[in-house]
Order: sequence, then C-alpha cells, then structure tokens
Amino acid sequence: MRKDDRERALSELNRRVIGGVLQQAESGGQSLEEVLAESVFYERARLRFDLTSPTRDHDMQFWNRAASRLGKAGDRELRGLVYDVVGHYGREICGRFDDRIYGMASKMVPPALGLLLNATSPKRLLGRRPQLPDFDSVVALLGETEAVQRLNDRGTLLFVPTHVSNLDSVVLGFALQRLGLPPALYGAGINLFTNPLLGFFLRNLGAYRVDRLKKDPLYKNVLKAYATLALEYGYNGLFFPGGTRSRAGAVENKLKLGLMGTGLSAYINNLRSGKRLPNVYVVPVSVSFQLVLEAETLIDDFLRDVGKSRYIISDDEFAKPRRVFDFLSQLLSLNADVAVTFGEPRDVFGNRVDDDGNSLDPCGRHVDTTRYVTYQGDVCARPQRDAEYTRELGERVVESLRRHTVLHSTHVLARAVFDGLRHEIPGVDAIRLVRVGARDVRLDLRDVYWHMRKLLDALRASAHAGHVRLSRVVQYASAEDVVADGLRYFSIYHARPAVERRGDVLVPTDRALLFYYQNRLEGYGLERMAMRAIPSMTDDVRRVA
Amino acid sequence: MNTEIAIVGTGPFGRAIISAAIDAGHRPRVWGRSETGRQCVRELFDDRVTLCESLEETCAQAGMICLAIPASGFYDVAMALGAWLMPDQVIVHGTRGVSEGFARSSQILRDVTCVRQIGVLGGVMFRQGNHAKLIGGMLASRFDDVQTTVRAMFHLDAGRLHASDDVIGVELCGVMGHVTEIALGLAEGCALDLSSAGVLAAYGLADAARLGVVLGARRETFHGLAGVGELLPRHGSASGRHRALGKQLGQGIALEDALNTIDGEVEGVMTAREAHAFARSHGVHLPLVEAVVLALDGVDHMADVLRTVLCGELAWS
Repeated sequence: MRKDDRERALSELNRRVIGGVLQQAESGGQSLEEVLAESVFYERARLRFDLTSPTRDHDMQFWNRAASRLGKAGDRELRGLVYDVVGHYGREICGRFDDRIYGMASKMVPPALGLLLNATSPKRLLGRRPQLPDFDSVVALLGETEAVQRLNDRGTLLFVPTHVSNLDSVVLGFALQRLGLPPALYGAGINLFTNPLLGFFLRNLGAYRVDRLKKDPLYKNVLKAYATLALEYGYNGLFFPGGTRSRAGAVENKLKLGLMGTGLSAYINNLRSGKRLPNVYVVPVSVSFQLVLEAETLIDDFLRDVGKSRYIISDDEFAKPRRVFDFLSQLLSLNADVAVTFGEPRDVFGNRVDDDGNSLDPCGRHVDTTRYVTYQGDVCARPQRDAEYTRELGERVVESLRRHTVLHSTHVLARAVFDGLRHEIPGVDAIRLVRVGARDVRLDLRDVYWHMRKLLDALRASAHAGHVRLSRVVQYASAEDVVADGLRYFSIYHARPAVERRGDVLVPTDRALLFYYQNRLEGYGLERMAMRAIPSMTDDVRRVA
Repeated sequence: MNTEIAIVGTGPFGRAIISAAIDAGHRPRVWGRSETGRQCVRELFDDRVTLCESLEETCAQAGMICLAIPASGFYDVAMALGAWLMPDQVIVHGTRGVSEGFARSSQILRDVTCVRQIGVLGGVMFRQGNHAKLIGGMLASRFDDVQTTVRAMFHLDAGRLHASDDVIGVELCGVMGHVTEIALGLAEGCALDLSSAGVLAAYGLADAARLGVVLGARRETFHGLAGVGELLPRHGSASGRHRALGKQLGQGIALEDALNTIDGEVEGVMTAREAHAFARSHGVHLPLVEAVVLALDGVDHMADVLRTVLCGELAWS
C-alpha cells in the first residue's frame, strides 16, 4: 500500500476495529477488559514458544506493559489500551513501504524472474552473463485473461489461486505483470519475509504480513479489516483460499472463507460510501507445475500426522536457494510448462459477469446485486447472510479451481502406478499403503500401459466436457509416451524418483511422492473407474498374450 | 420490510398456506393455474386475498413468495419467475417431488433465478380438506433472515415451524416420503402384516438418508421431524394417492390403470425412477426404492421382492 494510503488505512483500521469492539461491549457482548485479556493471554502464550520471531523482544515488552496496564485500568485507560493494541497489530501487518522501491520492484519483476528461472546455480549467475529466458515459453497464461484485463478497469480484482508451492506467488507476480495488471496486495506468512530469495519481492511489491501463529481474535479482526480496506482503496488483492500449501497435493476443496469474505465487505462499504466503481471481482487462478519444489516435505508433513499437519513449515526446500535454483533450471532444461489458468471472474456473490462487469443470473439476465445486500431498504452488512453468500462463492471457486487445473504426465503416471500398487496389495487403505510399505512391488510395464490408456480415455472425456484441463502431452500423446514423459520428469529433481523403469517393469521407489502427485487427480470421479479396471487388467493382458 | 406475500398454487397445501397468512394479518396475492382451485379460493377467502391474473402480477412486488405447486410444473414456474425476481426476495416452497435428473426444487430455483434466500417447508402437517390448515413442520433455510421473514408471515393454529439449515435433508425427506408411501401401499396390496410395513418404512428412511448424505444432507435430519415425523402419519393413514397407487400395484394392477383411478399428481412415481437412476450412477444401493421401481415396471411376485428387502441389511450409511 502506498505511503499516503497506509497512513489513511491505519487510522481507518483503528476507527473500524475499535468501533466494532466498543459496539460489541455496549451491546452486552465481550467487555473491553475481556477482549484485551484475551489478547494478552494469546500473545504471551505464543511468545513462550515462538522463539525465532524477529520481533520477539519488542513484542514481549509490549505485552508485558499491556498486562500491567490492564490490571489497573479504568474505562478511559481500557479504551487507550485497545487503541494501542490495534495500532500495534496494524503497523505490523501494513509493514514498511516505499513508493520509489515499489516502482523499481515492479519494473524488476520480469528480469529478476528471468534470472531466477534461468540460473543453474548462483555461481553461474556470477560467472557469466546470464541468458534471459523467453517467459512465454515457461509460464503459459491460459483461460480468461482478456476478461480479467477488461475487468481491471471496471472494479477491483481479488485473485484466489491454488497453492502447492511458495513459488506460486513468484509465478503469479509474473503472470499479473505479463497481463499488464498492477501487482496484487497479498498477505504473506511472516516466515516468508525472512527468506532471502522472496523477502525482497514481498517487501517491495506491497505484501502485508500475516502471522499465522497469532491466535488472538482481535488480530484476526485487524487483518480482515486491513484486507478489506486495501480492496476499498482499489488495490487488487490476492490470497490463497486454501489457507496454506496443499499438503496432500490435491486441488483445494475446503476453503478458508474469512479472507474471501473481505470482497463482499469491501463491496458493501463501497456502495455505502458511493464509490464510482464499487464492484469487486473474484478471479480463481489455477497454478499447475509438472513437479513441485517442496513435494517431499509437504507429503511427509501430511503423512506424519494426517489431518493435523503443521500449518507453517519454515525449513522446507524453499528455504534453500540452491535447491530452488536446481529445481527451476532442471524444469527449464525439459521445457516444462508452468500453467497459470485464470478462471471465469465472478462477482462477490458467485455470479458470472459479462464483459462490462455486470452480474448475470444463471440464465444470463442482468442482476441488480445491490439488492443482495439491501435489508429493510438499506445497504448494510448482515453477518449471517454475508457468510452464506461467501460460502456459495467458495463453492463456485472450488469448482473453478478444479476445472482449470492442468494435469501433467507426472500426475497421471503417479495415479496409474498407485492404482497398480493398490491392486498388488489389496485391502490396505492408501495411507497405510504409503506408510507401511509392505513388500517390494514391480509392475509389468504392459499392465501400466493398459491402465494408462483407460485413464487417458477417462481424462480426455472429462477434459472434453470441461471438467479439467490436460497438458499437451496428456491430451494428445500415446499412453507409452505419457509414461515416458512422466518418468523423465520424475528422474530429474527429487532426491529419489517417485517411480523408475528397470527393464520391462516399473518400480515405485517413493510411495509418498507417488501418493502426493496422484492426489492431484482426486475429485474428478476417477476413483471407481480405476479400481474397477485394475482387477481385469492383468487378465486381459494375459489373454492377449 | 416488504410484507407483501405471494402464494402460487391453489391446491390443499396452497389453501393451508393462504389461511396461515390471513391468520397472521396479511392479505396475500394468490395465483393458480387451475380454475377449480381459483374458484375454491374465491369461495373460501373472498376478499381476504387478492386473486391475480398472472404470475408476474402476483410475485413481482412481493417480499416473500411461497410456491405450493407440484413438481411437474415447478421448472416452468421457476423459469418464468426468474425473469423478474429480485435478489432481496425470499422464496419458500413445499413441493415434494423432483424434476428430471433428480433435480430438487430448491436446486432448480438456484439454477434458474438470481434469488438466494430460499426456504423449504417440509415435514409439514396440515389438515386436509377444503378448510385446510397449516399445523406445523420444518422450515429449512441457510439464511436466518428467511426463518425470520417466514415466521412473521404465517400464523399456525396449534404447532410451530421448526428451524433447520439442512435444506437438502428436509427437502429429501419430503420427496422420498412419497416413495416410502408407495411401498407401504405395496405391502398392503401384497397382504403383508402391519409390522412388516412398519419395518419397510424404516428401510425407506434409511434409503432416503443414504441418498441425502451423498448429496450433502445430514443423516440426523432423517431421524427427526422432517423424516420420521413426516412418515408416521403416512404409515397410519390408509388414504392418500401414493398409498392407493402402491396398493393397486401390489394387487397386480398395471401402473397406467392404477394411475387412471387416482385424482391429482402422484409425484412419487417420477421420484422413485429418478432416485433409482441417480443412486445407480453414484454407486448407492437403495433396496426399497429398487423394489418400488420394480413394482412400477409391473414385476410379478412383489410380496417376494418386499420380503427380500426385509431380509437385507438396514444400512444408514
């Protein structure tokens, strides 16, 4: 956020959040004292174990002082303390920002990404003049790009992408720049700011800080209010609706709706303040990689404690610049596509919009959306109603993310091999199959080809019906070529390939990785087909033989 | 708040709704396709209602629209409404059938109109006859404002509208209740004893619950007023179109002949077929629904088919 907007936002944040807290206290809800006691409790609890926080000492001092003031505060002092706490949170979230650096960083994104994507190692970067790659050959921009460009002039855009890797934000930054759109403000995990590679971009392209270790409800209020204000001030926004990187590798199907609701809040506030362009458009974006930089760490985290994975991982592959360079250069050496697909933009109620940004009902008729938020003649926020609108928007977003995900040969090969594993070791659920390992399995290549053909038929039919997108190889190549392509990619980056070929058999060498990549096919209705096809597969092949 | 109520449908359920609205002090705008129904409304309610000439005239300015129409005409009415409905209007319906593709009525409203504030009246008990009265039941909606609005619009004599946010569950309870009622008629036609019929009703609920869970409903809904509560009167009553149809099928009378003897729409016929097709495509086994479909298809030895159902597992998930 620019400097003048930042000052304005901080003051408005105070007004809104403190106003909300006071109103709640006056209407018989939580008292000021309770709200503050909760803040002190949560923050002190966090600081007890968050030993690496760069602001730990400062925070400790602040909260100790707040605790001592709270004990003897009268009504006036309590209000002052709420003001201080909201200001403390607000300043941390907004961060520092410099207009000049912002301008420079915006121009630097493409060449910097070029270096990043082209370097085989930092040594090479320093050793000879780097060759800047042709971006269009690396990052493919697909989907509703023109609609997104048009709508940028008709309202504020809120991008909601899939999230498998920390590289997503780098790639998205490039994609927006390539479309001629201004960088989108987004809430980046505070741990990312310590990453030397990403920190520079984050700080200077206007990312705001989100500390996911902070559990204080007041902090979350400030965060939401800031995200809402940024949209109201006309800054395009971006947040990952899955909340964190997908640990299992599947496309997001459950979204964190809190931040998504900021779009609707901003729309209501824009209407109330008579903004010329009040609309906020939600744009689902699917980012699809052939290989995922942090796949090993993510799936390991998922399997270690299914359903209770760590929310923040600070020691993964992304924290090792050398690993990032290796990963990207190896992808480039195979001319890999990173597909960024922009889904159909929607209004904040989940309705489709036309070229001029007008909302349409399911039959294509114009809808006066102000009446969604009109109650007894006034435009106003109604928390339960608005949460329901946002839930419905979330359903549309999930549907779009799934539909626009591009499946690569690595995903399809992993599914075919994993199905083979399940067939060879029946009666064991997927998690146990991965964890326990059991005996070594070798899959006859002919069986895998047979099953791959079935999978490709189903996937191509699904893609034809618009339910999913396929990479060029998966769409057009033969089963044999898809298998070969998948094997080639698996062999280039991961410490141990997920699967490798030894003569006429395929050996699943890392079941966890296989599970991770095959999970990308979850939710496309292929489960029953795969399990039915497998038992007859070997017999069929044998018959032919 | 816009307190104008529009009621579409002049059958017994429509008349019960009209009566509840009048008792709450409103003067509803009413439209119905059937001249007999309109005449009946005229005679019963006289100038306490505004009988309109078109759907648009009835609904365009209403704060709440109540649809009391059969499933066969639901899609057309919803499409027509879609042309002038506004997003701040509330729609509730009490339709107990599905359209092609096992499309539920609330889903149709969502698919062809801009309205989101949708409610479903289910498990609704109303006294039949000319002086139909709404007694109580379930009102399902995801929106609290729908609950508040509808409660302010109706007065119930002896009972209340219980709130639920499980729209799919409450809707399916009503829809699948008709299929179970056909099965109860079948049991009667096949001369099974009353206890066996009671057990069949439990299979009907279990089928509905399994189907509901696939669609996103909560299983508990089928155990409550909308499910069990709805089924009890059906089990106890020997009248009713669906019961009559089932009984005749159980006696070996062909579907077409049986339908010719029954006045009004028997929505359960289409529901059973659509539910069966939908369940098959989703890998869900619904033994009682399958039995009803066999009966609709004129299979002999229905008593044996029903006994097979009774010997099967009573699975709720």
